[in-house]
Amino acid sequence: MIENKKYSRRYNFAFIDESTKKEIRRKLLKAVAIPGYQVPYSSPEMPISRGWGTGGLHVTLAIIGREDVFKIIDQGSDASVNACNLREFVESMTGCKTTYDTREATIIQTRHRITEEVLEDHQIFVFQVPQPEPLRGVERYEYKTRLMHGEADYAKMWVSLYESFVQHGDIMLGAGYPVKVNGRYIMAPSPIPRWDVPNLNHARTLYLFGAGREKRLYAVPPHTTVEPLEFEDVLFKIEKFGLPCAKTGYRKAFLDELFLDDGSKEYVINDSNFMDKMELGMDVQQFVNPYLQKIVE
Amino acid sequence: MHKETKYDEVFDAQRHYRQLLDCMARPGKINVLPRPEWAPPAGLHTAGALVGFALLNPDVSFCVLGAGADTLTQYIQINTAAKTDAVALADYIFMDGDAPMPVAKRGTLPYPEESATLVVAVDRLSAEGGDVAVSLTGPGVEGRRTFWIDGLDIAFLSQLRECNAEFPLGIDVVLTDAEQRIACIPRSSQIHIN
Amino acid sequence: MGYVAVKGGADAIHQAQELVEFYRVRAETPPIAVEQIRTQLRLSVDKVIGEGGLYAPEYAAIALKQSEGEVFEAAFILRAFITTLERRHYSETLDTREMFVRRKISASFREIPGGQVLGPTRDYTQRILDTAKVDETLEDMQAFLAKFVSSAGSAGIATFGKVIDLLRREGLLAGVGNNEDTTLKDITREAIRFPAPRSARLQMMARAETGGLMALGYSSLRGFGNTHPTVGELRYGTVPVRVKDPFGRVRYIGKIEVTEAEMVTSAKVSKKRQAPLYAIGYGLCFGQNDTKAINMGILDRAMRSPDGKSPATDSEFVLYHTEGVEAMGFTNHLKLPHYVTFQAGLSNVREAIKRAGAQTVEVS
Repeated sequence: MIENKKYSRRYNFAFIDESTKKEIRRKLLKAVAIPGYQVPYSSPEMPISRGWGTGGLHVTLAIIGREDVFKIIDQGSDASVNACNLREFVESMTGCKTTYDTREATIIQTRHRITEEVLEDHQIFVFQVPQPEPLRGVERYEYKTRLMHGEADYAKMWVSLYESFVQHGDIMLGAGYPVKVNGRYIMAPSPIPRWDVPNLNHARTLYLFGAGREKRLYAVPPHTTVEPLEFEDVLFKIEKFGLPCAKTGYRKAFLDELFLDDGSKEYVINDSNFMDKMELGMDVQQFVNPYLQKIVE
Repeated sequence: MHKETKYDEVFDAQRHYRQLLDCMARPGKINVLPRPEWAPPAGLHTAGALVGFALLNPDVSFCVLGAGADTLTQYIQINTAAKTDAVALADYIFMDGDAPMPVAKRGTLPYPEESATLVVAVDRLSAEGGDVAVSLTGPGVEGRRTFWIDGLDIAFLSQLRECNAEFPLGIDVVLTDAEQRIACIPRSSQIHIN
Repeated sequence: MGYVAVKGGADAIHQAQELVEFYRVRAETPPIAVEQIRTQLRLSVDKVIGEGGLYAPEYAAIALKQSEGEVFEAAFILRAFITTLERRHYSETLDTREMFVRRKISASFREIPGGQVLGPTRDYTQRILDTAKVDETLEDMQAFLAKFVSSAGSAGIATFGKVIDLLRREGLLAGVGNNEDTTLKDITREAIRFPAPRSARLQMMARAETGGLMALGYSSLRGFGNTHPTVGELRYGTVPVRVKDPFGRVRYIGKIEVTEAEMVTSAKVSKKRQAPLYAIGYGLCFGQNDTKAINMGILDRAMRSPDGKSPATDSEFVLYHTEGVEAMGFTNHLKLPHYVTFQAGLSNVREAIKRAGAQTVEVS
């Protein structure tokens, strides 16, 4: 029987055609060779809206194999509706096993958080990035920011940090705090909280970044210096929470602020898998960094 | 000469690519690719062919240097449909480890990725010992990693170091040996030769 | 693992999908045939193939049915569909002089070779709501067709020369030949770079969102720009498409409907006593879409002479922000949870407010 191709609904493994996978793979190699530098790529459309994770998907689908175990989180949660949609997409296009367990996963795709549990050599961590250009806030034109990166001309960025300090008494950047990678490129780490930024530094895992709408790929290899921008006398700080986690009493994780029906407020651990493990008293292995170490339990 | 049929363009390419990505992210780390049932013509390691098959297609160009270049060029074209170009313009350059560094493209400051990748065939890669000890520091390396190469012109390494002295401009190198091993030296690595 | 995490996200999105289907079919009206959409909502289909960037009217009709008529959604579906298709050829350059013309007008000249052919257009109709459409039957359509076809003449299909060829013949048209005009890019294969050559700008506009182009083209006519051209020629019809076979022979593969606009303006004069020649702002899109082609032509010219203040003359502004699929995605992405992002900023803000001497109310 001749297959009616017109209405066929069979898709290539991992949805993307092999030609585009190759392009992404080649560019990821260059991105890894030039840590923190944004490589332009064709970024074809996906059945997911632009701005909702197409870049992260491009990276995941270009590298994933049948034996991989896939985890995806949004704002730290596996249950977030968009993460669920993307998980179903990846699962249906690859047949891969999926998991909520950070330790079990081999590829983890994330929107705006790094996991509390430490990532290992054999894992790859893929960030969804809305705005890959850390200088966009101080320079609207792409052709100019590209030249600034090329010449390491970051004066405008430093001036804006200084102005923020003068205006408000501190550098007022929250999520997506700009970092310098390998002493050369200023990079946008995606809108992760400051809490997570130190975990980019000299990590064991490979970090890959996909900005689908803006069409850029970049990478931070393991054991690479990643330093938040700071002044000698105005140092980088991570978030401070007034209270510990209401459910576990734990202080050393990023917490969500919840307003309850009676108007009162409580904090709970944001990372859903970490929270599950803490609640069940399971063994966890957190990232270790100097900022976390300062927190007294 | 024919296109290799015992090669899965979807799953072999993906599997081999992951090994290659691991090597580029961890300079000097040696990974071993599986040995297929076929072998390319003389002058190209099977590992080099697999790297080429994983990465090349009609959107990029390549160039083969050294003896048997014509045959190997044809082989790579038949198997990948990639275009050919002069060494100064080619995206991928296949060459032998006992040749000097070619004058290949190093990218530009606004677009440093528009640079060549060399696929260099050496005799042996080892984490234990060999003729030339190469130590790497920098991104991807915890402290310092040393590995050994047989069949590499020692001048090649100092030329590579010089070529990559103006980061981000530079060239990235994939080394292959006769027993399926691969290792990478990206331009971000500092090379220390013993 | 010794636990089962109870998560509601997957259930929520499945319920939402069911609800969408419920709202689409709850009235139990007869299902719309895809053929009906393709033929009777022709101009919606044309918009979708134009903004999706895929000449596939039947798939566009399916997408419109699937998305309950939401043109952004339908164009997005078509655009995503392209990613599943293999790309085999680039076509030979289309020559619209070969167009089997259905519509051909010029505002620049009263009379042009072949005459002003209004073709199918609502330009000169009155926009009075036609409630008779409520009771339209198939028999009504057939009666109209029978009458129309029998009264139509049977002149042969003609192709026509172009108005700009007349301008060129008279030495009135500025030449094109610098890098900006001759560099060929494929924006579906590589991210656009700035400064972008004309081929990249026209490609981006060819699949841009009609309303976005319209807003910016309009701004140029109202003083927020320097381009106020005349329609040199506007055409709508079918053009043959050809590709090279593996032996290098050129083969005809079919025809597509396009709308083409050639907008006449003055070329920029930079040297003293340089002749003030005319230049063309060009627009081309799939299907019948006068608005899009005309605004493409206006913006093609406007982007050639950036004035540093008008958005219509700023290539990055025009091209990035009229890309409908990206714009829809990103503006709507604000609906995604941003509570971590927000939380990350909160502690900074609370500290800064304290430093500024104001009071925050601490709820414990």
